[in-house]
Amino acid sequence: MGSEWIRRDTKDFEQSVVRLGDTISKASTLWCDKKYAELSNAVRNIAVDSKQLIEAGDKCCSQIDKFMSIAAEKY
Amino acid sequence: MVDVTIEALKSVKSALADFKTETETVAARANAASQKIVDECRTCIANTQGEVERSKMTIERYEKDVDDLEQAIIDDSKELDRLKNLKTESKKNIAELDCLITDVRQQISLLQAQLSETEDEKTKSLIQEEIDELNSQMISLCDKKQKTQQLLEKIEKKSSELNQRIEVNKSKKSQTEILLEEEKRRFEQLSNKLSRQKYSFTKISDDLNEYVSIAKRFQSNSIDVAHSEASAVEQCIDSIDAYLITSI
Repeated sequence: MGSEWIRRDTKDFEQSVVRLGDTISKASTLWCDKKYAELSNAVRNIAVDSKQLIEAGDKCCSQIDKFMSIAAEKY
Repeated sequence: MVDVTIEALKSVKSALADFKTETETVAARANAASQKIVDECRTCIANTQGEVERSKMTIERYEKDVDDLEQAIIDDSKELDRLKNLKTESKKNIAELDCLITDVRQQISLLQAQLSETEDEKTKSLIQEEIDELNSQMISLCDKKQKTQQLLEKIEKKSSELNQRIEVNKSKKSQTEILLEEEKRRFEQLSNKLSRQKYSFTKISDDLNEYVSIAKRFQSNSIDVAHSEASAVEQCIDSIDAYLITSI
């Protein structure tokens, strides 16, 4: 509930980035030239940007959890 | 060596295409999740708001109950005081009636003694008339006394009922005051909860806006990169294919 939607999305997204990174990384043993370096660099940038998105998602989740914790208070 | 490189390029191209597909919906999903969360938070806040309003109504009801009970106690106490005075007055009346009855009874006794000693018929007749008159007074006085005694009994019964009702109402008032204090504390806690929820919600809204904004930016950038890199990889594959054909 609540933060779970974002957690699920960021997890899926993180896995996509990891899969891409792994594939590019594996290709390095078979592909070593300037173009690969450019590709690797571009994917590295994607990974850096993705970290920002995941952190923003985590921040949301943390705040949503706080909200839900307040909402669960019974009086 | 060349075949293996083509395989590597193909796997990279495929991975880039998959990544592009997977990230195409990042912004839309972030936006949908954000909207769902905002709706859920608003529902939670509305629920708490409802609880606060219901608690406020409960407090008002308890306060009215306490006021009504207090008024009933005051009214019953006043009535009890009135009955107390009436009781004193009735007792006094009974005592006075007793005196009168005793007095009349004595007068009758005296007259009856005189009657037995008198031989003159005319005098006898006058005394008898007087005795009859006094007997009539006696009956009237006894009747008044009986009615006053009945009134006194009613007063005592009513006083007892009032005393009992006052005690019951005092007890109810005391219990309601306890409930009222508890509800006031609950109201404070719920109001505090509502304030914290509202504050937390503003932070969630800000964070969600930032998240959606980053997701949109990321989606746009990563799709561009994936697309351009996939195109570049495609060109490499084409070049290698061309080279191989030439070599053959």
